[in-house]
Formats: sequence, C-alpha cells, structure tokens
Amino acid sequence: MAMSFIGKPISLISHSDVRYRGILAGIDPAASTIQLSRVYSMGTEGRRPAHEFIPPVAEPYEYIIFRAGEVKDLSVDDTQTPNPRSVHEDPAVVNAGRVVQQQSSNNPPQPRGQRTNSVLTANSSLQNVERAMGELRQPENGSGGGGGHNSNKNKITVPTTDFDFASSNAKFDKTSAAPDDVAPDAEKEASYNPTKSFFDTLTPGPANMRGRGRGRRQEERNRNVATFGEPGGVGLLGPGAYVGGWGGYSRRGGRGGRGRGQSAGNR
Amino acid sequence: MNPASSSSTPAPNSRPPSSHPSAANKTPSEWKQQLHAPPKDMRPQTEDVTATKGTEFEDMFLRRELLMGIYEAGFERPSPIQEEAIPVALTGRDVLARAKNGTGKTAAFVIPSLEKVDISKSKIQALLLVPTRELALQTSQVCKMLSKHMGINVMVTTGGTTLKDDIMRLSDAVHVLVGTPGRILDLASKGVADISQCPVFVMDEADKLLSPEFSPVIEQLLSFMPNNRQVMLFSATFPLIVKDFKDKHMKTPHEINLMDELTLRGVTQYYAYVEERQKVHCLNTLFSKLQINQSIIFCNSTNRVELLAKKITDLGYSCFYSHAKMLQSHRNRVFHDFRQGHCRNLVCSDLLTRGIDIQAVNVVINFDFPKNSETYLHRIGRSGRFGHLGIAINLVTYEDRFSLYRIEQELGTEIQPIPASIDRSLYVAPQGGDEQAQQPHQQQVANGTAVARR
Repeated sequence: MAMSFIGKPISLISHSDVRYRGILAGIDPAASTIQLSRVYSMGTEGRRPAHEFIPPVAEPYEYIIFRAGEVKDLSVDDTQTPNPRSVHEDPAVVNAGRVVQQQSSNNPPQPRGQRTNSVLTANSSLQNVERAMGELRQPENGSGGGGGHNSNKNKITVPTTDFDFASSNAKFDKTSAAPDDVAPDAEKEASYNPTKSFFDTLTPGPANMRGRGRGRRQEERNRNVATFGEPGGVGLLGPGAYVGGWGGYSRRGGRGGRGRGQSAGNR
Repeated sequence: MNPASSSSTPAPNSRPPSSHPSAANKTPSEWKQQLHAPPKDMRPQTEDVTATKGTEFEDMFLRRELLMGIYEAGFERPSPIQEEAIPVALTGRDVLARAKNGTGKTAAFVIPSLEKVDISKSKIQALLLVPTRELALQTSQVCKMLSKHMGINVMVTTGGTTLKDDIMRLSDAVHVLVGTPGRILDLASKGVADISQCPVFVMDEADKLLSPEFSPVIEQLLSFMPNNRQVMLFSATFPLIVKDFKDKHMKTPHEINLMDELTLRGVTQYYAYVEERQKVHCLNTLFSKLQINQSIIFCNSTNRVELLAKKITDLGYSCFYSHAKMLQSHRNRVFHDFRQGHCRNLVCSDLLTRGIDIQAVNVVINFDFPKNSETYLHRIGRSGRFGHLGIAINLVTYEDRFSLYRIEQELGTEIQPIPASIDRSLYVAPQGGDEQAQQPHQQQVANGTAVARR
C-alpha cells in the first residue's frame, strides 16, 4: 500500500534529527530501506540544541537510501508545489535565500559522523519498513470543504475478543532501542544519584508547546486518524465542553460563519 | 469569630499550649478524644511513607488548634518528609526538600506555614505557589482543612476566574494565599495583594515553577516580597535549573532528600506493545480485566483527550475528561466530582500530571507514552498515593521504543511486559474496594464535560 506513495514528495526526519526532503523513489522491504531521490538535507532545524546544530545543505543529493529503523518520522509533504520558502521553513529565518545556502554548501555533501547511521543500508527487519510506512499517511489535502471525508474508511472497530497482550508483546524487543555503540555493561552516568548530587539530569518536560506549527498539527491529525478513525477538532462532546482550540475550521468547513468561508478551502 | 491568642506575639516555641476557647482548659487526652477523625485507612503502605523515626505531631511544638486540624484530617503521625521538613521549616530556615510523589509534601509545608501565621495581623503571611489551577484548589483545601480550628483565612486564586472577585476577597484579611504564578503576580503588581511583608514563600512542584515558562514570573514575584523571606522548595524532581535559583535566591538552604531512587515502591509498571490503531481495543480489554478502583488515563494532546473520552463512552464505560482548553468552571467540576468518586475513569492531558492527590486511584494508564522521564515519573505517581499500591500501564508503539528505553535508563526502573493476568495483590486493597472489573453499560452521552455519568 505504501508503494502508492512513490513519486510523492516526502519529509523524513532521522533519529539524528536531520530532516530530509525528497521524492519517494522506492521501498525495499527485504533490506528494510527507504529510498528518496533529489534529496535536500534540511539540517537539524530547531530540533537539537545550538551546539548540535547541523546546517541545511544547499545542493540536493541525487538519492539517499535510508535505513528504516533509523527514521524517526516520515510524512508526505503537504506543500505540493515547492516554493522558495520550502527550502527552509523555519519562520525564524528572515532570509532563506541563496546567501545562507552558499555558506552551507561549503560543507561536504556527505553526511558525516553519527549521521551516517541514518543513511546506510542495513539489514533490519521487514517490520521496520512497514511500521515506518504506517506513519506515512496522505494528508487530507483540500478536503476542508467540510465533512466530505467523514466516511467509514478509517473507522476503528474494536473486536469483541480480548486484546492478545502476549502475542503483541512478542513482536517487540524492548532492548532493540538500546544504542548499538554502547556496550551493555558500560553503564552511563545515572540521571539521579543522591550520593553525588541533590539535583538530577532527567530530560525535562516540554518547555513550551507553542510555535511548533502546522507540521506538528498535521502529524497529530494523522495520528488521531490512526488511533481513533478521525482527526479530532472542536467540541466533540457537545457545546461548552471545549473552548477555543486550534484548527477547528479546517475540518468543519465554514462553521464559524463569520465571513471566513474561504478558510474552509485551506489552500 | 476567633479571638487572637494575645496582643503580644510570642515566638512560636514559647507560645502557650492552647489559646482556642474550646480547646482551653482541657487535658491532652480530652481534646484529642473529642475530635472526629475520618475512618482509618487500612490499606497496606510501603516504606516510602512508613520509614520514620517515630516523631509524633505533638512533639513538634505546634499550636493545639493546628494539631486538632491535623488529627481531624485523619493524619496519625508524620510521614518521613513531614518529620524532616516541619521542624526545620519552623526555625525559619530556607528549605530544599525532595521526596517522592504522594508522600506528604503538601502537609510538610502547609503545617509550618500555618503555624507561623499571626492571626492578629491582617496581612498575607504565607504565599504558597503551585503550577496548576487544580493543584491550587487541592492545596488550599488542605490548608483550610488543617487550619479549621485556627481562624486563619486562606484564599486561593488562579487564572481562569474573574479578577474582580479576587480583589473583593483581598479587601478582607487574608493570611495564607495559595495560587498559580500568573494571577498572583497580577494581583501583586496591581497592589491588590500586599506581599511586601509576607515572610514565607513556598514553591510546590518547584522545578515546574522554575521551568522556562514560569521562571520570569517567579523572578518578578520575588521582587514584591521582603528580602528576609523564608523560601521553601518542594518536589520529587529537581533538575539542575533549580540550582541556579537556589544560588541566587536562597540562603544556605537546608537540603532534605528522602529519595534513594526516583520511582515509588508501591507502583508496578507494565508496558503493552500496540499499534496505534490497536490502542482503543487494548484499553477496552484493560477495562474489562483490571480491578479499577479509579483510573487516570493520560493522552499527549487535548484533542486526543476528547477523542478518547468519546471512544470510551462509545464502548459503554463512563469517564470524565479534563484538559487545558476547557472552561475553568468545567475543569473544576470534573476535578471535584472525580475526587468525590462520581466516576471511575478520568482522561486527561498533562494538566493533571503533577501533585494531584486522589487516593482512590489505583491504576494509571499512559494511553500515549510520554516523551520524557520527568513527565512519566509524575504521571505514574498519580497512583500509589501515600505509600499505597497501584499499577501503571503504558501503551507503547514502535515509535515509542526509544522513549521507553531512555525513560527506563534515566529513572533506573524496569517497565515489564504486561503479563496475561496481573496479580491483584499488586494494586487492589485486600479489603474494601470493588471486587469486580467494570462492566460496560448502556451508552448515555450527556452534553457537557461529564459524560455518561454514573
């Protein structure tokens, strides 16, 4: 099924937090790899702290083969016609023009260091590709006309039988997420050691949810469809239950009815 | 009205044993016998709350009126954090206290704060800051309960309510002010809440209050307070950012750390590996199998909270839901009614991750696995309150595998695969409680926040 996305523009984020944009050229279930052509590396954008920043690379790679297991996120680019802005979408960048790209083109167009693990072929399982592709869901472009896609095609049915925890857990190897380069007995510094410090180094909670923008919103809607069969929106459970909220108009058409009818098109 | 103890203000420790009219002239045993404590909770408890040195509340030189409130609230003897923190706090020293979720931190700062209040002064004498509105309500309820016999005026103020009511309320005497940072700063900068002589400043869930979203507000708030205030910080997690605050604003604080490890002993943690589209099915099966006394189910966004609440009612189970985009009055009603046990399940976002204390909750379900260990730790700490037993069940997808690994590593804990059947003794109290798994019932969806109420 995922094969139908071949030829579509794809955004892919590796576990090194580098985003790549390119055209889906192929999926190799046997090798568990995903191939993109005409690939731009967008760098880490805002996903890593400043000292780990990897800048975007101006020249596209002809193709990159990605190991599916190292792909953190994958989505179909909803911007069908790439415009200059799509080269660098970070709203903080005032000028995403040639100057920036000239600078960064000094970098060798080869991923270096740790990043290489994202772009090498590897022999992880077929399951990896399927899972990664499961996330690859066509955003419902232009369907904001209102309710048109509110069909049963995504309906989540709950089987009457019990969920089989044992066989489901058998499909998952918890230790597979352990980084390969760390020897199991090389215990890294504990995040909390009361004998050494009162303070801990746990990963902190989300700093600020604001400003994560449209991509994240779309990602969540896709995920909601996968979980619940619908993307969610305003006031599912009746008036008064929900105040404010974002993005409600794109699903419910011109529901607001205050001269914002054109927003329903959502182009 | 309660007369103030005397015109002079003796030091706390030299205060006469009692000044309350009804408590005066009674021997120690008499006043205690007349109290109406709630029925004793007979559920087993872990050493997270039982490993004390044996101090009694009566050993702490507290006013009898306060002791009466303490015993009437059902507190029998101090928990470890209360035993450590209350005496130090009473001396006026700054305190940095770290103790696990649900081990009695709130009372550990409320008791000394109340003890220090001089009722004859109609000034704010303790400022208790918390990160969420629900937690503010809960903390103020604890203050009111413990100060029941003291004649202290406790006020709670949070965003999402009308400022006018707060202004009216502050024209009367307020001794203890509980609230969220934004609103209190608003009141202080308008000159409505005078905290210029407030000697006690407490931050509960201090690390949350010192996170980037709050810390500028805290800094401003401190500028309205006197320089010689006592600062007390409480939490189960203290990331390094708190150290900056400590160095800048605290005077040689007394550090209390009762945490050998991060997670609660009474909470057993499981994961169930699922695909995104199997989550609802999985939850349905959990509902039918588990002996849920009350459960809290966490989702990673407000939309998903609503979507899941709808699904749960479609499946015929009752649930409340709460998230940050709801009207505050609805949030309050949900919180209140869930606490009263009106409904078995609560679906929520991370709004209710910290500090919320609902003793009947024995099951926490992470419908969406959290992205970081701090959130995870505070979420699962909603069960196993005050050393009781509970379970946390995590629905984990392939995408979550790295988070799962990292959280286990950072917390130094093990999240086990969920077994075919979970030993009831791990989370169901031996006596009392419900013996049955919950049964789906005919769907009844009401408009509003409370759906399919039972």
